[in-house]
Amino acid sequence: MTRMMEYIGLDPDRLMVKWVSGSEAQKFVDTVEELTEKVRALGPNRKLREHYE
Amino acid sequence: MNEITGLMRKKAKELLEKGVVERVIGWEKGMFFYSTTPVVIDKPEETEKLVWDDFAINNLAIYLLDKQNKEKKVALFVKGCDSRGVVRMIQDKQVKRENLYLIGVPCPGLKDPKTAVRGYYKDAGQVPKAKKCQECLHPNPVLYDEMLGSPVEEPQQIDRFAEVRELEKKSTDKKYAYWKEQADKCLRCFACRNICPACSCPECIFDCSKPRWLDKEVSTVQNQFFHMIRMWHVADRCIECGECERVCPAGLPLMQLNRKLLKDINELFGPYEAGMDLEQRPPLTQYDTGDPEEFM
Repeated sequence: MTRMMEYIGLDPDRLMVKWVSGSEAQKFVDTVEELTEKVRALGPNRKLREHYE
Repeated sequence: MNEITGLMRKKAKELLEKGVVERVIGWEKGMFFYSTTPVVIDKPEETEKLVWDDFAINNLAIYLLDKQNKEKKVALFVKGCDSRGVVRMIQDKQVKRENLYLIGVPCPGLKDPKTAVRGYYKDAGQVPKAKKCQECLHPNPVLYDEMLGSPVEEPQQIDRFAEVRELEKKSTDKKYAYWKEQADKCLRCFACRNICPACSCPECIFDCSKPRWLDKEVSTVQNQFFHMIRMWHVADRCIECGECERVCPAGLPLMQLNRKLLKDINELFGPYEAGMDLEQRPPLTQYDTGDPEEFM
């Protein structure tokens, strides 16, 4: 999936796939925070969005 | 090729007269020298229509999905690519092997009617070989009940991922610009989906209106999504027959998308070619604890 995103010209860093069980509340929070931080650093996505082009 | 045409007619007639099969699917001659279209024959006297020439390029495997052909016993003429399509369909349980009588035709590499029209060629001899046939690695049928003529030599030194490697070298933004330009040309006519022997769902995700997975509007962005979804849906089932690219009226390089996925599959799951063997399952339909987890 990341390889394909790279090939199409998208940023693979915007994708995160993680296995979190229903009982792992803390892990879920950490994962969301981690991704939010990552995406914030990357800035808004302008690709594949009609109104930005 | 005339010799094979003769054999084809004789064989088809024999099969229909004896009642071994109820219908035969092959090719017939159209109006122009470059038009050879698929034909379905169910009467022995109509078998004289059958031909095998430079333009019999249509992959016949897709016609097996027709409801009328699914329940009947059908004879099908298969080239290398057609036979791989048939293998895929049997593996997907779309058709039953016992309902099929496959007549193999070794393929010397055929010509694209579109090239003939656009190049204003006067006769078949001048038309260059079709792109999909230049890249073909398996011109001989892989699955057949009987073979007409003798097998042709299989080409060895073709790098099927050359185009993909070339494109991979470009920068991310350049690649995005390239694919955007391609998607801009797309008419969303669904010719690529309709001809594909790997696309066998009775109801396609793109026709489904509840939920609406993709807008009906034809815009660049929606087209980009369309091609991404289509490519993932055929992924490891693509037999590389190149029909999608051949029928595309806008000339999109669709095989560059399909081959990229196949290249990744080859790198991650070991050497694999779809539709070569009835026993071999596509890597994405099975699970193994040792599977790579690149982005997990």
